[in-house]
Amino acid sequence: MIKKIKHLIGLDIKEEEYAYGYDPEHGYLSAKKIPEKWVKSTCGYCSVGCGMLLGVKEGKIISVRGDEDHPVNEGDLCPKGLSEHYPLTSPDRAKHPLMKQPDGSFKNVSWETAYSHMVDTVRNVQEKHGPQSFGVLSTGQLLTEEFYALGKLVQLGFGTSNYDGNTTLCMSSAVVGYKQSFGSDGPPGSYKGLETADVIFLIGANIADNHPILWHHIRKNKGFKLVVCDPRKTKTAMFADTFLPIKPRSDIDLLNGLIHLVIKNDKVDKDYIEKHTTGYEELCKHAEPFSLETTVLRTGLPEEKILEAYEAIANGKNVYFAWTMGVNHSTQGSDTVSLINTLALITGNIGRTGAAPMSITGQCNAMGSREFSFSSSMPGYRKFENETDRQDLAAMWKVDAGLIPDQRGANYPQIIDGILSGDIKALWVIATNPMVSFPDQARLKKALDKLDILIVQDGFHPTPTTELADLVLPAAIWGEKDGMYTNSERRASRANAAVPPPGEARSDFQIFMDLAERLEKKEMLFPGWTRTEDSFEEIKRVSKGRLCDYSGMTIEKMMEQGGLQWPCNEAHPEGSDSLYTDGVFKTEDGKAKLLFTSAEAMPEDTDNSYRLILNTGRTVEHWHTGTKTRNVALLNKLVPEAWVEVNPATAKYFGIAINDRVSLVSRRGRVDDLLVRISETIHPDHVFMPFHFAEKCINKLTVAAFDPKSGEPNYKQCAVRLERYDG
Amino acid sequence: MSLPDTSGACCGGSGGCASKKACGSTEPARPRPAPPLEKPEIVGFRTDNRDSQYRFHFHMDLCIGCHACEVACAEQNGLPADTQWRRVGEVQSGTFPDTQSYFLSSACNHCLDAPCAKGCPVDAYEINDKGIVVHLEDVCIGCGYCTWNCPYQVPVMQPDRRIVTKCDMCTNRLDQGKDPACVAACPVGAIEIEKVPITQIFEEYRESGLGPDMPSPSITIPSTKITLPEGMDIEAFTKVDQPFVKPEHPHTPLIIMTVLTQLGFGGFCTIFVVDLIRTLFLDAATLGNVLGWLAPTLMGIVGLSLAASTLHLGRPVYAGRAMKNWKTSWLSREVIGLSAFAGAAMVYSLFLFVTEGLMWLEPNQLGGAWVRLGLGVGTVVFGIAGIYCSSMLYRVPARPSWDSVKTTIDFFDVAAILGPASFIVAAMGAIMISGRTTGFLVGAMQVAAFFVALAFAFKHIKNAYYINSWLKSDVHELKASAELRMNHFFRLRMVRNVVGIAGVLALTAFMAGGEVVDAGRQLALALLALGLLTAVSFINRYIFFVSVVPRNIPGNYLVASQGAVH
Repeated sequence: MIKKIKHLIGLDIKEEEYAYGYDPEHGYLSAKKIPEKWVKSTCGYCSVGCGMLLGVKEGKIISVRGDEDHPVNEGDLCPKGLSEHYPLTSPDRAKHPLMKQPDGSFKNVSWETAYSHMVDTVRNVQEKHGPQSFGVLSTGQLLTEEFYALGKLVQLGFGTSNYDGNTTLCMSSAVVGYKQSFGSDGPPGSYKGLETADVIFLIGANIADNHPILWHHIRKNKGFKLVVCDPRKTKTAMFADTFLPIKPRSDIDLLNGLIHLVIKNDKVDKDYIEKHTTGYEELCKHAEPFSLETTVLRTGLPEEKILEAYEAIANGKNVYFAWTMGVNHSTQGSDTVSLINTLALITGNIGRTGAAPMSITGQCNAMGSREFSFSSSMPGYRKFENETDRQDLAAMWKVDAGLIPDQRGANYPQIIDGILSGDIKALWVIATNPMVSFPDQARLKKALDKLDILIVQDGFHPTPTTELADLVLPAAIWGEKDGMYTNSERRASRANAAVPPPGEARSDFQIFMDLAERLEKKEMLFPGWTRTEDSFEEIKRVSKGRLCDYSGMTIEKMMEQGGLQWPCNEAHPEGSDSLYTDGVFKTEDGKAKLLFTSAEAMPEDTDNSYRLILNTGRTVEHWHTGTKTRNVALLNKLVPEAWVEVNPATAKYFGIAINDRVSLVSRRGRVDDLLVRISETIHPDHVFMPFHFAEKCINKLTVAAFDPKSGEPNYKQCAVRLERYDG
Repeated sequence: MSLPDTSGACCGGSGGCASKKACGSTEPARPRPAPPLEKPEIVGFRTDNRDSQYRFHFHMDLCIGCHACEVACAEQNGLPADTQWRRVGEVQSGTFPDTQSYFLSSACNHCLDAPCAKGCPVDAYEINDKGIVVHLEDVCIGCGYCTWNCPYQVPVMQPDRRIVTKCDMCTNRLDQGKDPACVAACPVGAIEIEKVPITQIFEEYRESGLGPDMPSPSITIPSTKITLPEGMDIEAFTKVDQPFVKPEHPHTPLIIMTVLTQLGFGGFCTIFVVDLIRTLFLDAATLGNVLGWLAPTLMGIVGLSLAASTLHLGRPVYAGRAMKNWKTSWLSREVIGLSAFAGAAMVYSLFLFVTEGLMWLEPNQLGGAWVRLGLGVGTVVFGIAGIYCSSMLYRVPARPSWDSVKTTIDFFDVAAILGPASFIVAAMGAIMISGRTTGFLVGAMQVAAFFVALAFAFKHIKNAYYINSWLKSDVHELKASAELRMNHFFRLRMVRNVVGIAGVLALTAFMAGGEVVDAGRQLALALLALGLLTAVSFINRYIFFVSVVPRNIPGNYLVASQGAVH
């Protein structure tokens, strides 16, 4: 009371709270941000993989700084990274195992009860409906050691291969595209290439918003041409020397047109093609019809823009092709990736720093999941179909090779289909939030409601997904557990625990060990394992001699050097900047395949009722479904709600003015009460909306159409209409 | 830390130059070339001890709009989300696909002619040896006047501290050879600190503004340099938040204070005029005890309203400090002027109260009529000074709709309407109580009523004229302010018009017969008129405060959209 009066009359201006102090390492700083110690770690948001220092005081992370010694970011961080400590103490953290009661409410239960309930129910379901009736949806957010443990637990412990990650929603097309062209997954380039390339060709990649710290490398590049291909004039496109505002889905036409021009004008690297590729003749035949005129017609681009891009690629010594979701989020994503690979191969732009077809990944450890999660492939980029690979693993694991499936199980969308068709009855969702992120929410909701049991393991509760769960397992998140993340340039970087998880929450690794114990398979799968380091040692053994070779890595070396890029082995003890430097690929004949494709129609066309194409994406301030960033006050202030970007002509056509609220309506649902941003950054036929917002969920609108090869959803195009929303 | 020292003079080294002290001993101070601006005196105000200073250099051509600087600043300074010292805005031009948009990251511009410092009534701003405008939080009384003065909206009222806080270029980090947090955080190196000769700041002065759609630098002479993208046509760009306007804070204690001091001032002017006429031409006792009661009542209103105004402060306990910076701050001058007015009015009203109110003494005792009239003159003169200063403090270039003689006229015409009206009420009250009426009183009331009606008409014609000219103005803030009044506050303004006309009609009706017929009914009408006209003044002043559109840097579309009005 006295304090309040003192404050009101002005005697107390909180001088202590806002005092400054001196941090021995980082100098003058707000006193409350000066920690007892700084813990080195790696960012848990995107795949750029920035090194960080976590300031810890009284058992809490109070401050985050960029690690100046880390080669990825050299001290820089984006706004999410700089505020990554706030979500840890959010009231929305899941702190206790929760079991859904008949009245729909949640009740705190002990871990013992939770595990028993989970294992008993899943076993019952599997006994009744077969082992494959249990599905598992994982993530790109776990540590590599956890992915590795989870894969073994699911495939060998629970005995189901209906297991996939949310990485299928983001980069599975890149995986398939690489596998098709090169015989293996694995992004061949590195960030250093951004510093040395003389042409950077970004296709469907808005890195200024989505991977801002990559600009840290681009800024070091003195004298390069930036070509940006995107239907929207993004922040990134603003910097382009050549901007290619293509019609949605005409990326394939553009690539075919460029390949045509390169071949026609004899700008191909004949020597490289001959020595290191197959299929050139077929490619030439395929490219023949994609003349400049045809390309102009199909892409909607002016001739001179196509020629500019062509000149840049044809004359560039080192061309860096990079893409993200603009390419992957398509029913033809995998083949588009292969087509980019083809363009890089025929122009000899692979195997050198600065010359690579480079998929920039989404999540912090999507790469770790690609390498070791045992879902779409077996650990160490091994193939289910390959008997030697299976026997290899069985021998190392000392298990019967018959336990290892000879083909992958259902992918993410197939798991949802499986639930709808009644084949899958139990689902375990780990560190992902499909009730915001999966396309066609109405259909997904129908599926989840059909389950006998839904188990959700997450760092946060409530989320739209945990709310539907029968069992919620509270998990530790970034900053609370030890292990490694692998970034887009194949750099495995150490993420360390700085604080313990809240309440009764446990690390995902611990939960997996506990469950293995319950299944009585701990000794078989994880003999003597107590820490993630045990998993790391096995990863090193299992990956030895593979493309993603971790055998030369140690935790100390990773910490010291700010991560190591695989392959890291005896031949490359300091890791590797580029893949395929020798031109030898992982195909049977060692040569890369020059694959090609032609554009098909989009999965959904516009008509009189749905005139516009909805494009989706991110904004720099928020991360995915917002469970973390929407708990950061400043980020939420900067981007407090979803918006729809609309061209002024379109707004006029639909009778919408600034300050009006609008609804977006698709054939599957509607989102009401949206802020509109009338802007010349978007084509009159398109609208754009970010996907971070649970309460304004864009995936009520998106279409459940998937790349048949990768299972990746076609998030980038669906037909919608705009309406004024009057409340 | 890389600190480009482009000064070419001074110590010649980078960073940590102790400016004059170190250089002065080895090198005589260079004669300063005449700046290409017309206000040389301001140079003396800001830079008397320095030839060079530190400044932000922002590269608009490099910024990718990642907002890391905003978060880094908040983390460095431990700020809550509602207090941002650095903000990133956006400007756009062109049509798809040739659209261009650029971002502007901006904190304090550490201006050479810093209006925050000049306006601060308590001298809570200090210009340090690096030329950094530093705000002293323990001196600040939380009046928020600097937040009105800054055309870049840099100083912010920090709600949880009840004082203003702002960017100090991390001056203490600079002392340690470290970059400010924003500079260190920028992944593309778009923010730099550099040390430049002050003359260079004048040489690089750009009439059109630091960057696109920014306030003219002639208001404050900001030290910041913005490197624009090559070939940028800055006239073509508009800030993306321009369509969004939201009403400003109403500052209720200030609405009460300004209206009631103006009522008091008007009342005392009326008292003085009546006093003068009756002293010169009539018997001293003609008025009965009208003035003797009216004056102390007005005095009470003035006193209470001044006391209420301290509630506007974040730290009312230190209100007394506000007179300190009378040399440059109109706010200090207002406090002094209104205090002098209140002081004179107190003596004047005490005199009137003792002589005519309580009738303890004859009106002409205590030194006679001339002493009383002398006090009256003093009250009126100090009142004019106080109300004038009061109006001048709102006339800041950062707030275009306040920055004209309209504000001063506004303040005086409230006095012209409410002062005579209050006299009428007092006179009717005296007539009712005493049951006596004189021809002079009746005449005075009629003249007063006529005057009020005239002043009321004048005020509305004047307002219509200004709003009409604002609607046609090229100045976005004026136009937006007028549009706020025409659209968002349309209904309130209609209510006000009805109330105002009713007030004038009540005033006309109360003496329709030209004589006192039913004192009770007439007093009720006069009171009603005064009440309605005071209500109109409160509504007008409310609109004055909430419909001002301050100048600002380009903003963030999504932030600006929150709470914006049609």
